[in-house]
Amino acid sequence: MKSSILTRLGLASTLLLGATACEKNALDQVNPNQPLVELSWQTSDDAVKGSTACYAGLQGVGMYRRWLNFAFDIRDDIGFSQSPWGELRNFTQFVQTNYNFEVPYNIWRDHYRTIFRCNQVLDRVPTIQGMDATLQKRVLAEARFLRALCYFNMVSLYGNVPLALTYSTDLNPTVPQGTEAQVWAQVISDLQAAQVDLPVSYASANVGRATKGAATALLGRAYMQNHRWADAQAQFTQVINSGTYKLTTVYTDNFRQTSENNSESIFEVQFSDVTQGGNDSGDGPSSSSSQGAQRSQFFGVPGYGYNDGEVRPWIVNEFLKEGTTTGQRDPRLAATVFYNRFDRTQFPTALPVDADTLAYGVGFLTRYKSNPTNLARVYWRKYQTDYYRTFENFDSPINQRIIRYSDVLLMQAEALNEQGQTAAAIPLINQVRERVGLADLTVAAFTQTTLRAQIMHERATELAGEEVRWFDLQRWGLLDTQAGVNSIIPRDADFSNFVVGKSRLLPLIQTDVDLLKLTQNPGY
Amino acid sequence: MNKLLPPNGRLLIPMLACYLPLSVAVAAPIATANAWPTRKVARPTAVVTGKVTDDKGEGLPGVTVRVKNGTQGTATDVNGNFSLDAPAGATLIISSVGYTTKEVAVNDQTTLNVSLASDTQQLSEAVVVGYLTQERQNVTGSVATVSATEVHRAPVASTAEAIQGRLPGVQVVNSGAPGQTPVVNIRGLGTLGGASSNPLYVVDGLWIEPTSSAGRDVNPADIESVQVLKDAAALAPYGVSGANGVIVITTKKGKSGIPAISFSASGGIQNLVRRRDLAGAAEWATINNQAHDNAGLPRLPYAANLPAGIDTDWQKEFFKQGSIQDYNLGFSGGGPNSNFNISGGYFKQDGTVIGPKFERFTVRVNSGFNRGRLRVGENIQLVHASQTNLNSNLNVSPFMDVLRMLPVIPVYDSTVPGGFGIGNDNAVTYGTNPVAEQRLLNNISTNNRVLGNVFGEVQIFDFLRYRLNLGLEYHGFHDQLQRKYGFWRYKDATTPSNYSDAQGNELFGQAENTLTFDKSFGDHNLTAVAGYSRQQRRQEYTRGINFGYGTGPVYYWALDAGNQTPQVSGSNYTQTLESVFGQITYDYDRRFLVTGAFRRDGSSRLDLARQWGNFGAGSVGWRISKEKFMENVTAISDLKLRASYGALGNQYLTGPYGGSYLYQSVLNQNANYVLGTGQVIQNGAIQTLLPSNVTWETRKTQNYGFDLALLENRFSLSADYYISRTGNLLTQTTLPLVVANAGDLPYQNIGLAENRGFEFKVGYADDRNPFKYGVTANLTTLKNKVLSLNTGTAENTAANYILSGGNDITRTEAGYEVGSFYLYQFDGIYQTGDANIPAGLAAGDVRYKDTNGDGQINDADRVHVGRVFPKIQYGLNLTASYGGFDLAAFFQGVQGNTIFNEGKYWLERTDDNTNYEAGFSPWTPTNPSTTTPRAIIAGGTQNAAASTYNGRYNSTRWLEDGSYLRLKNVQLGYSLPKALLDRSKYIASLRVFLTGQNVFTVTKYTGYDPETVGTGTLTRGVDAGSYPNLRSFTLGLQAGF
Repeated sequence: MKSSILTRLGLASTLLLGATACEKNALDQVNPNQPLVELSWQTSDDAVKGSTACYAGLQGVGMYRRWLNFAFDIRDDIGFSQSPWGELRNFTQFVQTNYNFEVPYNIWRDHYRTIFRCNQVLDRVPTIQGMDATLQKRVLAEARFLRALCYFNMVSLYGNVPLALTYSTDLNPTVPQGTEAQVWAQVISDLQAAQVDLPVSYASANVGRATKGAATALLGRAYMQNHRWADAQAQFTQVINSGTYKLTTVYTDNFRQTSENNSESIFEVQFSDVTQGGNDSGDGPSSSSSQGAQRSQFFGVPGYGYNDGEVRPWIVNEFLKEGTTTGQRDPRLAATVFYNRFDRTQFPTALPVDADTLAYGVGFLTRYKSNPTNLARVYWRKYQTDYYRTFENFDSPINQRIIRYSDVLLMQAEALNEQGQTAAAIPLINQVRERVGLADLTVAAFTQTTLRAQIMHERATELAGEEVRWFDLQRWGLLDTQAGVNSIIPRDADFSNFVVGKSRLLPLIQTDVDLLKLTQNPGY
Repeated sequence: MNKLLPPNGRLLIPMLACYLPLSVAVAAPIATANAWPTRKVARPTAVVTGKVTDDKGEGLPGVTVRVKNGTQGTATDVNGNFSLDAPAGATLIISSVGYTTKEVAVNDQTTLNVSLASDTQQLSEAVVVGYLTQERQNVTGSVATVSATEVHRAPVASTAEAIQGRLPGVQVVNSGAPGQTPVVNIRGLGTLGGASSNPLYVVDGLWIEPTSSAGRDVNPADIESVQVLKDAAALAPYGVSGANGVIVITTKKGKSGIPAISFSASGGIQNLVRRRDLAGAAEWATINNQAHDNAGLPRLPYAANLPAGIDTDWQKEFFKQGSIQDYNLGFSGGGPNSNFNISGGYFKQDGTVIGPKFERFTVRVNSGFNRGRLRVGENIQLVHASQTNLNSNLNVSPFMDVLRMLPVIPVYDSTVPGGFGIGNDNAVTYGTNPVAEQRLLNNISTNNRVLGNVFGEVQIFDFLRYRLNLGLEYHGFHDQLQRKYGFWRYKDATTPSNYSDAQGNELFGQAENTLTFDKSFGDHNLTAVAGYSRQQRRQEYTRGINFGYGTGPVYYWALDAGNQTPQVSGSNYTQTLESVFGQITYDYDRRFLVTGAFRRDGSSRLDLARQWGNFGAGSVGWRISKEKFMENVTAISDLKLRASYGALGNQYLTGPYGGSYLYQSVLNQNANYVLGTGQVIQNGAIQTLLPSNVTWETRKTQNYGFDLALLENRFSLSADYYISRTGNLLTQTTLPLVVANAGDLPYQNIGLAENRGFEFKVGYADDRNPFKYGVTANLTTLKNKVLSLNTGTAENTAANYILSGGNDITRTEAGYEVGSFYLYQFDGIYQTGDANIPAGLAAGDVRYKDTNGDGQINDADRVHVGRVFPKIQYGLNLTASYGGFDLAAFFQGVQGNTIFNEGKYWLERTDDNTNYEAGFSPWTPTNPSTTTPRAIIAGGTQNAAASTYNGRYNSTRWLEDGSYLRLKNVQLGYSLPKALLDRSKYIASLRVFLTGQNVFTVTKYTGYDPETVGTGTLTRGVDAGSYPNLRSFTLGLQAGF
């Protein structure tokens, strides 16, 4: 009996204590899906992946995938919106009551995400041991270039933005608010540094990464925005003299998927339709994230896209001001917009009807004959995919050109003219004109003032819809005085809502105004 | 380096086997247990016969008669007679459900006649608290109970729906969606969304974790009782898993006696209760024209000239009559040493709008077996459920789309690919055709589950027993999205037909070893449990998607049938929990009651440095009614005071991978970019923000209460007051965008929130006369408040609030409720001649309150308004029976909360093209409304600012009182007289009944349903078109054979 009790007691304790774990670290579960951070920033491959991630930021929905196209091309005086999405339409008309409105919110968010990735590279890559020094310098320079590109956009859109320049995982960081001058200084210093270490070109696998020419041209553009004409001229001279770039023979090669990264291209945001359907909702990239652009879907003509952004008809007449040396319409007109070429009431001209304004394979007039409202509208054609397919979707493969050589030529001409070197400017403009068959300008015909106006015309026709017009309006001072704004209103009635001293800048995003205690822009 | 490899040995069963007692020990107890009685029975036996009667002298059938400490046992026959071989000097235990168990010494008798007293004491029901079962009268924690009868009244799919409103302190919010999982909060909301706020379900000892969806699939028809554990004392045995309360479900077991067959069937119709009165085409056009005129824009062509023959009533097109069916068939029985219960159920709900439906098959097998000191049992349910989900495009509910779609758009339009009317340039709206949305997309979730446990128990000594409880939840799921070709919204991008197929499985296992000590020393009664347990959950998931399935009408939904290469993704995770625990109850003379419990848990979900936590609670009770000085107070049959205090945890983190790895900072390797002349994808990698020290939330609760019963227990009253504080709240505080977080916001343990409230339950029941009746009422008050929310570092710059919802409609911060509305205050309409109309606005526009008086209306003028959680929630249950008739009516309601009525926003905003409420009357110079601004569409050339200003989403203009009183359930039944049934010989009992659910609702709320599930933990007061609750009428019968 006694032994039985002992047996049972022994049993009881065995039952409890005997339940020993055979897998000691059962509680130590490691995420089997993704590598831990400790793995990164060890090798040169990690460094390159980090830099690729910076470029990937450019594809964000708040970047060149969608919303920058609105912020630049639709808010300017060439584009406008009749979107049924009222808040979007209001945004393009300088009316914004919600400072966290999705469009400027996403632009802000995605720029800072890209800046974060650049800061990460700038902080971590120098710690990588045994990395090829040239590659290391290149990766760092690429990050500086992309950070400068981001702040260029940010200062142009929002002005006094926080200057996040260091890598930090602090969830409550102290990020100083920059003045416009401070942000520009940062853009310039990043580009100056990037310029030194970026290569002139890349082997084919890496084509699309930032080059020395890209940094130099963007630096020149930054000087232009600050009216530092001589400094700008020096940069553009380097680009022009490098011999790396020349205009393409065919103007439309600059907006087609089949002729990307060509001789005229200085920097492009790369898009592709290899991954479709994945919609980057802002939660960060995933394996199914699309690599495509959405501009062509959002600007597409009725029946093919949302036509949330379209074109003010004045730009058509700007093209029709002069014909080519053979008496034809400027070929850039048909490359830039879809319009009713037979409509000589809205578009008075003696020039013959050109042959090439089909919209997705059907003549524009035929397509919209039954709808006089749509027939009278002008739609974007630049960057649309109608030249090779009969539909639009969220995955346009066409790269967006950020700076191309003709822009550099025209900026150089402007820089020279502003310094009184009007005669030296004209041959540069003529290079751009000759490509599309326009007659040369003659030196004798222009003063500094009239050439200034001519350059405005040249830029509008050469670069419409390429996200530079907003910079031009700012640089030309048209947004700083009521007189300037009044000169725009006849072209684009949206500017009647423009309040001088306020509307040049967007309101800073409310979330960050609250959390970082920023000073809101004037007038908001 | 080893850490980075996937863990080995992922198979669950082998792993859990490691946590069982050593295999030798497993074999030992069974063998030994079998041996013991054999040794003991070396005595002569004799046949004992007898009869068991009730207190009226009638023979009782099916009564268990067994030998104490022996193997022999039997059951009485139909007349109450039994015959049994019993050793000399044995003691017989005579027991039957509903009667007080009796022990009778045989001595030398051969005939025994025993009378059992019926156990009418309502308060002495058994209550499962953690690892112990206590009698209700000895419980010192806060435990609420619902009986099977009440659970079975509601024609619903889930237990949570069935108990809604019946228990104080338990808030259940439903939607009417077929197959939905209700939101259940016990004693308020103790989390901020970083961890689950759901309770833990324990079904016959199997844990259904708050993160599991299995709670829905426990067939309510199988339920014997439901208990809700609310205070720390009752919850302490659940440690790091118990903070949000536990719902203990006990399913029906077989009873000894004649095997019983039961069958029940019910079916009926369901409908949406309320329809909004919407404008027809002509009325819509008038207002829409006004909106365009005021904006200086050309009128919409179809508003300027109404299209002939189109006047769509979108509600009529989308809503339909639904149906519900529920069938259950059961077989149960048992003898003195074993019992079984087999049941099968079928439940089907066909939704009240086009599309959604739910179907479920269940089979349950419960059985038990005793031999001597050994008890073995199992409870297993198999479930197959299939649900067709309600589709929402771009996160807008179709219940909002019926308000947005214009009456001038037809439902069907053969000119649009897919065949549905979606509007065009003549009739512009961004609403989605709700019919097309359901027809073009078939969203089916299919589940197969096994839920069950197996246990073995050995009575080592009379006072000591060992129990091994193995639980298993297997969940195989298959989610299919079949998207046909076609448009469902104006200006939609062309989407090729596509098919997404996601499959996966979850396996949860638990192994619990417990030793229970139970002994009385004179007036000192002591029960103690010590235990050790392991749990593991694994989930694997794979998803494939392919495009290009043609344009119909016939589709072949297989991944291979698409014309592209399928894209695949997938993930898996593992969670483990290891625990030791102890629980003790002690009383002196059943007057002074003390309990204590402790649990130490280690969880793999938590930061390695803080993986282990200690939790515990204690309680005391004093049964005053047992005191000598109360002996003469006959009116009071029971009176007990109780108090408890303790701390519990919440380890059920939410987030990626089921919240398994939140403390591990990982690399996102998909920041890809195309490069090179061939435009080849190159991988980019970025670091996610490092979450720090992610650990459990701690909820500390103090509870004070009393139980009172008067008039021989006919009247009962329970009251509790509690203060519950959750600290270390796991939050995702809003971060500056400059921080550049992508994906889920990082989790941080910061903050402290409090819930406090009173809970009352009062009942009166009288069954002394042929007319029997009862009244039970419960009332709960709740005050929820965030006490602090900061990072504890640099408080000046630290984010100290969480924004949530569209336009950041709620803001959770210290001093306010969780998910408190944070809005612009509507302050009337500027009238003609007003002097202070801001620039850009005109007479007829909305005036918002300039809270800070700076002359500008901007974000700084938003304030906390309204109340998300009801001040009071209540339930009133009335029952009566006479003869064969029985009637029950159950009212339920909430008082004192506000709801953000998004439907009102869609109908009245006017800056966007939507439909309007019938009789909608915007401000005009001749109709100077003080509540409704002028109609003005956005994007116009004049007063562009006014449109979005008037139509501001985050304003109090859309906030409404959410109080309601609802006749939740009413049931009239009739049981056929036994005399009549006896003639049939086959039918033992038959009851027919008629049930009405959600019969009527009294409320001022103008949306579809004031009972809204909200859109998330922090936006639960937002009615963004949650599926309204349904009114149903069903007819049913219950039969016994």
